Amino acid sequence: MPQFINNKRLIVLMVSIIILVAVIGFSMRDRDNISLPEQLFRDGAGFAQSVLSKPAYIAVDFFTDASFLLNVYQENQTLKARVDEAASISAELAGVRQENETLREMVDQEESLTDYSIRAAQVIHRSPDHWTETIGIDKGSQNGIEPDMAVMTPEGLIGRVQSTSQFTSTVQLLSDGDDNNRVSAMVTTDGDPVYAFIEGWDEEREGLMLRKIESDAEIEEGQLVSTSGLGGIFPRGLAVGEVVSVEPDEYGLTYNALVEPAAGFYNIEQVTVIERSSESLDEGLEEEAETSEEEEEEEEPVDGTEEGGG
Amino acid sequence: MVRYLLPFLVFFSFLIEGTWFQIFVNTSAGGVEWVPRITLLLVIFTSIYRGPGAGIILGLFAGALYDLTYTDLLGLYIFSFGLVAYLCSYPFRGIKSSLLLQLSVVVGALVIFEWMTYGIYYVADYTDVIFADFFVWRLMPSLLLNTAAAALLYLPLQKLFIYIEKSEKIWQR
Repeated sequence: MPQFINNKRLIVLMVSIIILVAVIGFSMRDRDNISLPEQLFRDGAGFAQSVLSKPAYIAVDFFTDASFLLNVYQENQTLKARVDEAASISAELAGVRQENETLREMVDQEESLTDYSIRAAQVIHRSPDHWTETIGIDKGSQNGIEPDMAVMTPEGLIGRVQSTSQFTSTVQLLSDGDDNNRVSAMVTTDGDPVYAFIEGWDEEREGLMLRKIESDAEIEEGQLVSTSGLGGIFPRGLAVGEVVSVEPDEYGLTYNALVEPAAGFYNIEQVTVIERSSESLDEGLEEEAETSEEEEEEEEPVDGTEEGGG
Repeated sequence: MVRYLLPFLVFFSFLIEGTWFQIFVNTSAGGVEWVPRITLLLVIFTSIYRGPGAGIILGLFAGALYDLTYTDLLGLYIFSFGLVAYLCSYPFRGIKSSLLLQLSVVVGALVIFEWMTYGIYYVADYTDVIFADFFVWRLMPSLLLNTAAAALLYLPLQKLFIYIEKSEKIWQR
């Protein structure tokens, strides 16, 4: 048996540990996007992954379709009952939409925080070690996808684009434990909406944590949580989930709520990437603020835009 | 051609882990995290059968695939795969004939690998999972799943390595 570790090997080990620490340090910086070699590599792997994922999805779809056939009758009954309901709701929606448009014309505001355009993409991989909760999709910056865009499934918001390469991009799910993983959200109550942040994932109770709720807000179980659009990148009104429980936070100044996500974070097949149409938060308001500042005294205009997701 | 067989298999199993596994399996049913490590198994068996040189090179290749595609922490998997490949290449020679010994090497390597990646993620502040939870919900399921996979892969892989050795000898003549 050869000697397990001799001097030469010890030095190699030491050097590789030093390199490891240096490279981790390099990659932990706040990077806007991944470097070019990484992009090229991810595109190469992404091509193979998208080729391989297609037959797998076909197989999975076939089996789920087959299992759906078994309870078609029951489903049909419930759906029939809901069709009437849907008809009345859509009539109401058309009326509300028209009213909204006229009101908007009256205040001369054409764009709103709720406007967005969508791009469909297919999931091609998911980080197999669940330390980071990320998925890869088969659309990249060539398809117009940029970092920090919101990503949804039909049920609701699942995350944001973390990094893009030319033909693929990586999506950070809401359940990822990264400190910067934060979404500006609001809770729909009977009165005014309550604003707070979706921050992190509760491992034990399997839900999203809605933090920094003001203590005078009246939050109850079952209220709906959606994005607020105040973070500057996400549009307003994307469904996130439902409040399950409310508790005071560790300092007793604000409240935390546990939110059951509307979308499932596993076995995702198709996602839509959402680009907000309105450029920034009420440009009119910002201009007004600037002019009033200039009038009062010659201050330097404060750069009010914040970085970060959502 | 035979030279490229192992890297190709590693790439293929890397694709299976990332793409197919998450499509067919609910990877987090009931809080248990199922993490497939077929790539690591290939690297471990390569180290056992073909010595440290081949094992470490294959390990670095597999680590690079992982690091560049999945993680933002570059170097984590390159280092872990490389180290595990190195450690696995040093048990005594008789190991090649015993399934039980090889499986125990696989179990040891899996423990070291999972523990090390957990440690690095913990130190880098990517996770707050405490050790007890890691042990119960991640390490144990991973050991079960991957040791079973190793037992299944044992015979085909043994045949593969014998085939590679044979064709290398023919090449040398």
